[in-house]
Amino acid sequence: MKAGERMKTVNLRTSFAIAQRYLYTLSRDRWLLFEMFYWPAFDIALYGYVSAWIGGPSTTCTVVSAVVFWHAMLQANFAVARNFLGELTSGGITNLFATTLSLREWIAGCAMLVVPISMVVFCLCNVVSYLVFGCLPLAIGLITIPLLTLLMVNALSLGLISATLLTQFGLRVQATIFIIGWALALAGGAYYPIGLLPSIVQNAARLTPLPYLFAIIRTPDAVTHTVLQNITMAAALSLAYLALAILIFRATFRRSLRYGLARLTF
Amino acid sequence: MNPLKVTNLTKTFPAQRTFWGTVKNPPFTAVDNVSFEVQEGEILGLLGPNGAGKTTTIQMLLSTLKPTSGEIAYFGKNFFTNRSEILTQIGFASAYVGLPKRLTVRENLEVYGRLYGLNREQRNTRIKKYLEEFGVDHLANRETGALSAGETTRVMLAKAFLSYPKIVLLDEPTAALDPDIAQDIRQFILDRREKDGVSFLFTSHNMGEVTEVCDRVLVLQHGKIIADDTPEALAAKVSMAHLELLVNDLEKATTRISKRGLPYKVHGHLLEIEVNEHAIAQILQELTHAGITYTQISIRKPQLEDYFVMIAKQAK
Repeated sequence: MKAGERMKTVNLRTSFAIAQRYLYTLSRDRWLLFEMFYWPAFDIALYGYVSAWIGGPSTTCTVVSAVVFWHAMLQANFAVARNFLGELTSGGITNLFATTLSLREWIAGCAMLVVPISMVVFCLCNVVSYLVFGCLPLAIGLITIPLLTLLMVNALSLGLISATLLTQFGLRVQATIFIIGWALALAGGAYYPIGLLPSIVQNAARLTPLPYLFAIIRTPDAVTHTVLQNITMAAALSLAYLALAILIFRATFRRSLRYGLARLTF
Repeated sequence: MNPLKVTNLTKTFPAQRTFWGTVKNPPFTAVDNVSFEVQEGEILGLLGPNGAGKTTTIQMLLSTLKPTSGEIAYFGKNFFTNRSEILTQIGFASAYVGLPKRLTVRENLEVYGRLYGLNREQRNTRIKKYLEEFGVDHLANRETGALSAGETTRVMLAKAFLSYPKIVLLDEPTAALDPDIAQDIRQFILDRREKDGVSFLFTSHNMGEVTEVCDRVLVLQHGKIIADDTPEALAAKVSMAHLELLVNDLEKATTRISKRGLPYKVHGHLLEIEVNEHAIAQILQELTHAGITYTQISIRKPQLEDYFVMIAKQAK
C-alpha cells in the first residue's frame, strides 16, 4: 500500500481472512445463497427451453453450456463486488485497513474467493443442466480447466472494477456495480455468437477475452490450432485486463486515501 | 523509544469539485502542524470540540488517511515505510466503526485474528480470553448485527487487543456503555497500562472519564494543539468555581450578587453563583455583613468539563 512496501510479499493467512469473511456471510445469508443459484438456474431453464424450441437438442446443449460457464464467471464477479460493498455498508473499511492488511493482500483474498464460488456455481449448474436438458457442459473435456481458470481471472477483473467504482463514488453506485457483468453479456458472446452483432460492436468485442472463450465452448470440436489460438488470445487479453484492473483499483484506492477511507461509508 | 512520535502533521483536504469543474468545497485544513509524543505506558487524551481534527488525526495514525505533510513514527520507525510491521502493534477501536453484521462475534474475531497473522492456537486462546475479559463470552455465537450498542463496543475492544498491541487508539470507546461497564473498561485500560506497559491515545466526550484515565491531555481546536497538560492543570485554567448556597433571604441575596455583576442561577431556595475561586471568601463575608445567612454551602472547583465548555465557546 505504501511506497516502502512494494517489495513485500503477500501473507496468505491475511489474504484468506478476506475470502473467509465473505464465505461466513454466505453460509449464514440464505437469500444471498439463493440468489447465487437461482439466477443461473433460471437462465439455464429460460435459454435452454427457448433454444430447444427454436433450434433443437444440439443447439440447446451449446447454449446451455455457454450459460453455465457465463454464470460461473458472473457469480464470482458478484461475490468480489459484494465483499467490498459489505465492508462499506457495515462501516468496517477503516477497521479492515487499520490492520496489517495491504491492498495486494486484499486483492489476493478476492482471488481466493473467486475460485470456490466459480467452482461451486459451475458444478451445481452442471447438475441442473444435466437434470433438465440431459446436457453436461463438463463433457467438453479437459479444455474446461483453462476455460474456467480464464473466466475466474475475468471475474476478478470485473470485481476489481466494481470495487474501483465503489472506492471512487461510494455507496451511491452500489446498484450500478452489478450491471457491469450483465452489460458485458451483450458483447461477450456467451448467449449468441458475436457475428450477429453490428460490425463496430464486433470489433470492440474482439478486444475483450470473453468472445474467444465462448467461441471454444460453442464449437468444442473445432480443430486444435483454432482452439489453441482462441485460448492464447483469451489468456493474453484476460491477463492484460487483470493487470489494468489492478492498476486502476490501486490508483483509485491511493487517491481515496487523500480523502480518507472513512468517507466511503457515509 | 517512544511508542508514538508525531511531527508537524498536517492534513489539508483538497478542494472538491463538481462534475463541471466548479468548486463545491474549497480546500480545508483539518489538522494543522500538530506535533506530540506518547510515552511508554502513557494514556494520552485527545480532546476538542466537534470538527477540531481528532478523528482526522486518528485516521492518519492508522494509515487510512494520507497526511499532506509531517511525519509519524511508531517505536522510532517511520510509519509510512514500515506500515505492516507497525500495525501489528497497534490496536484500534471506535464507537463509530462497525463489523460485518452477519458474522457471529467469534467469526469476526477469527477473521481479525487472521488479519493480524495469528495462528489457530493464538486465535483460539486470545478470542476466549478477551471475550471473557470484556464479559461477552456468552455472545460468541450470536450475529454481530443482533448485539446492542454496548455489546458491540465490547466486541470492538476485544478486537483491538487481539494482537497484543503496544499502543491502542481508542475513539470514544465507552460512548455507548452503561456506567458500570464503562467503569470496567476504564479499569481494564488502567490494568493493561500497569501490567503490560501498553500506551493509549484516547478520545472521549466524557470529561470525568478523561480526568480519571488520562495522564495528559492534548486539546485540539481548529486543527491546532492549543493546550498540552494534565487534566487537573487544564481544569485549573478555568478560574471560575461554582458556589452553591441555601440562603434564608433569596431575593436579598440575588440583589447583592447582581450588584457585583456575578452570573448566578436559582434552583428553588438554592443559589448557584459562578465566581472566581479566590473571591469566594470575600463574597461569603459580604453576604454575612448584609444579614444574609446560609444553612448549606458547597463549592465545586473548576473541572476539565468547564475548561472544555470554555474552549468550545471560544471555537464558536
